[in-house]
Amino acid sequence: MVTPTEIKEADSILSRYRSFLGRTWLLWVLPMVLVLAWVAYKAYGEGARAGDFAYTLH
Amino acid sequence: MKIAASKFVPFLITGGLCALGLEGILRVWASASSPVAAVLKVQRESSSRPFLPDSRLGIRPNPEYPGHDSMGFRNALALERADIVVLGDSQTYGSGVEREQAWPERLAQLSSLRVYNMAYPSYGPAHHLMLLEEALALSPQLVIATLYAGNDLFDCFQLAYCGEWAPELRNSEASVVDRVLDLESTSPLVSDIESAEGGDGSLRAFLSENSRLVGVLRSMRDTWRGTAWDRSLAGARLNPDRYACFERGTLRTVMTPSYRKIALNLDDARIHEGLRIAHDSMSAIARRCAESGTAFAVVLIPTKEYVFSTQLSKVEELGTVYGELIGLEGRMWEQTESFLTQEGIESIYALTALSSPLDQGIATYRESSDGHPNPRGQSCIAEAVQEVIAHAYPGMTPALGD
Repeated sequence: MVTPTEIKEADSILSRYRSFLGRTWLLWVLPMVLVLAWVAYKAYGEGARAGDFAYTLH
Repeated sequence: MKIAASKFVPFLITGGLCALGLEGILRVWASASSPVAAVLKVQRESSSRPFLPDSRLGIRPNPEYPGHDSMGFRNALALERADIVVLGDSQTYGSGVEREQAWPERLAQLSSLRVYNMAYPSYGPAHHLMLLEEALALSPQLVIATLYAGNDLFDCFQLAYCGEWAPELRNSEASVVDRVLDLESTSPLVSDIESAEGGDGSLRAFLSENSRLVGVLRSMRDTWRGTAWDRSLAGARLNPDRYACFERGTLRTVMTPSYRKIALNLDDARIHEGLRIAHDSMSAIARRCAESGTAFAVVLIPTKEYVFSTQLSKVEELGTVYGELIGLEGRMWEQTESFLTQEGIESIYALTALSSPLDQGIATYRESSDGHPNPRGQSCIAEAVQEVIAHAYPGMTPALGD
């Protein structure tokens, strides 16, 4: 049985985490965007080297 | 202390969730886009595996896999009748090239004949023998089997001795079987090959193979370190026994002599057995084809290492192991050609087809350590086969109906 105090504590943790995300969202979103932009550049931009697989065994 | 540690918890949780989210996005993206899959160095993902277990062949191509036909092989359509059926391994399946660029498909375009590609990576002449009845069911005028020097002897040995797939292919002399099984139990060939290839079972290797995020990090690191060729040269300097780099003008490639030497070491009883099984299988295929009134020919495909040896004044230029490998492969081709002549089996040796463009600076292989011909190399094999077909089987015309 979950007590009202436990619910309050969980709410408080969630609210603090939301506030943390609100303050630091750029820190998480920016690297993700940069990684995806890098992949797009390598795949479709000048750096593309399609077919450069290394099949050796068979 | 406890308070300080708890401050990091949201960072850890969020960092982990972002990494998982990114991994998921990259997975979906790589499965939908070939260029992205190439950057991350993964094959495009599919819900189906490329092969299924098989009690006779060890593995069999999966009909559900993208690019495979309803019989499981790599063709646009499964045929009921074909003019030519080609039995082969990855060199013929067309690993690393599009289906339309694999040499059987190129041969179909050149000859206007219906060519059915019944090749799959890791197959060898023993597998071709197992598949022969399926090939003959297509009523071909010609069956072509291939022998690739790079690993077919090992593949034949493995099918006969490393499972219960084809024990009937084992040597009739019990002392030979005992010697081979003894050797294999002491140091399995597949482990020697994996170690020569540089593979290991570490967590790093696992992540490198399975994580798309690690693939992005690798791609970033590689870009930082220079071109693919610069990295190959650095790798060869670090592992001079494993890799040998060839560079002359615009022609350049990376060779793997140590690995090839293990798979071609005729002084090893297991590889010697592999060659015997390969020869016996070709002989059995020739007899069965003769019974059914079908013509039979063998395409002999050399290793990239052997093809490039024609460009060197001294093979030792690329190291001692490379020189030894060239000696072993030369010996294997000598024995095989003499065997085929003795048996009266038509053979098409692809060495000149793959090496003569190199004289003009045209690459028939990639710059990487990939041992498969590039699209140009695949075309060269198709042209060589077409020339022999036109000369040796002038009456061959496309059959009517499907």
